[in-house]
Amino acid sequence: MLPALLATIPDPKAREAAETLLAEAAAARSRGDLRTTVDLLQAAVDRVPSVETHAALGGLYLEMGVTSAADVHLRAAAMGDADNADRWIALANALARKPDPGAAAEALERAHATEPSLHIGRDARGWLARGGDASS
Amino acid sequence: MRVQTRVPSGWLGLALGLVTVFAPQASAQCPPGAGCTEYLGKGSKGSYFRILVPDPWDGDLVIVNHGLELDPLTIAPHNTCKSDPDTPCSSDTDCAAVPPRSCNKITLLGLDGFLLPSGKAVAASTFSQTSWSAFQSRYDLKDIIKFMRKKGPGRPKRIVVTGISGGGAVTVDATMHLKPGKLIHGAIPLCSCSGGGLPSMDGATDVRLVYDWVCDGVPGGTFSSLPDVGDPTMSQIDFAVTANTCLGLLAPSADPVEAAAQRARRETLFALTKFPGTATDFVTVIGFAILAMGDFVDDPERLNGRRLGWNEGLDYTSVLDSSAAQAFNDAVPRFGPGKGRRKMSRSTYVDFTRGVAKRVDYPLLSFSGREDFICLPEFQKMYADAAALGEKKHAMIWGSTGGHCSFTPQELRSVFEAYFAWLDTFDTAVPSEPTTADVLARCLSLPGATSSQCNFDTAFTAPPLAHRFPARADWPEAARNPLP
Repeated sequence: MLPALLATIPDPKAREAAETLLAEAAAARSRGDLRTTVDLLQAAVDRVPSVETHAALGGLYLEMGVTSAADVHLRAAAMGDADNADRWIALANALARKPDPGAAAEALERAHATEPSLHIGRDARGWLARGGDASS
Repeated sequence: MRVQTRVPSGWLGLALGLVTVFAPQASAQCPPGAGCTEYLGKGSKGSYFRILVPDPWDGDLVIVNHGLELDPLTIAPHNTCKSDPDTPCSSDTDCAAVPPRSCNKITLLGLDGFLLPSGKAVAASTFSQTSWSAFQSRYDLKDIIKFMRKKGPGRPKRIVVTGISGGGAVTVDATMHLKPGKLIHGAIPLCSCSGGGLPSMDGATDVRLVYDWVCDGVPGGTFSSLPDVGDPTMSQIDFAVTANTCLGLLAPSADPVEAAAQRARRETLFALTKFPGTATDFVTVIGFAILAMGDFVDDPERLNGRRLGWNEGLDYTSVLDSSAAQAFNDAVPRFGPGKGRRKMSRSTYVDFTRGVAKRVDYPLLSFSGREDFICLPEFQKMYADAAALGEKKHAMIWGSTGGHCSFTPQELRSVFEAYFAWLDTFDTAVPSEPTTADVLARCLSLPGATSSQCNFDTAFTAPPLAHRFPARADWPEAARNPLP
């Protein structure tokens, strides 16, 4: 089953739990506690496997260089929110770092399919991103 | 478009088994009309492979080698759930009940998108080893070729080996060990770790030594493993947490004093290693030096715990221009040649003047980024110099996008088209040896291509490896004495 957007999850307690865990994870990261950040995001996915929780955990895995796990979670987020180009761009970043340029290009095609006028470049840290420079 | 999939009956226990099962697929870029046939099989050393043959087939086979992989669950059949090869899948959702909930794909890196329509068969292996797989990847590639001949559509007319990153190292190894004219007829290393075993691992060890020196005494920020051994037991998360504790790469400390110390250590480390990438890029590099190295050093089938490094007597100030170079050189731990070096040299050593590689009679085309932070441009120069010393025909194409293996489909297609134009004319009076400018022009002429999809640097030249890492006496000639 594909993950749902938090806003569409009918159980208000599940939504609240996910939002709380995501906020606690962000706070842990801002105080430099990477291990707690990972643990909280993993707990969020386990408790409420939504688009947002998968995206947050996958994004962190990507920065940590754990590209296989990043691929799994960012793909789940993209599949669950398939009309959102940013989900596909995030997945493309994970695939590009594996590196699998063909699969990354396919993810970028999905991003373009949702927003035909979308321009994708690279941001200052080298990630594929909306706008950015001219290389895509 | 039509794809038939043929997999061996009872294939999980059989090497090079029969092909009996047919099933439709829709992802491959097969020629219109007759489509193509997909063969799935298992190699003699435990690898799994996937072959796509178009109809009509022009007789060429391109073997596509994936990049470095640490997860042993990826050594599994195509389209089966990781950890449960008996459960078929087409996407991760089919594996929802099978942790880690991931469908294993044997990737063709997107090269099938333009190779199959041009009539060329494509194949890929999982390899039978994780991490630095060049110890026996040549046997995994031979299994594909044997399958083609015995169970597939027949012996290919030409076999071109290509691969990306660590798969580029597999490609380089294929040029050293596969018999020219029989098992290999061409090679295209892509953003390849082309230096072979010792230079690659010594470079990784030197980066690790700098890390150890910079992070010495930082609570929770040091690695206990030896710098030339690594640690196969450490999880990727524990590793990233440790590196972050010292350097604040991903989550700096909330304490402003410690955050400033993390920043200072980071700046020292980046200056000493001349590291061109970002924080996440550095995590990847130091991860190779610890996790990937630990994987194959610890493996009883590979180095069986034998140490790999050698820095006794080296003068690091000869390659480092940071103000901290002298202090690092004075303090760095020294060790003599590790017992693992001999096997590493035997397994993967870049030299076209001897052995099978001396008989290479086909063109070599490398494609890499000028700012690659892991498979450095210096490694490409070393491979080019090795080819020159062996009087082999080698051409180098430089991309201009930052990062590791940051290629667009158009760039890859133009490189391959340029290569096959060269290969087709190689024995003629006017061989079509490509330059970066040629490939750029070819890229821009692709239907619908724009300049943003064709990023090449026609002026770049790579510096020598020995200007970045002190050369060791047992390195290949091309690494020790670079050509001008």
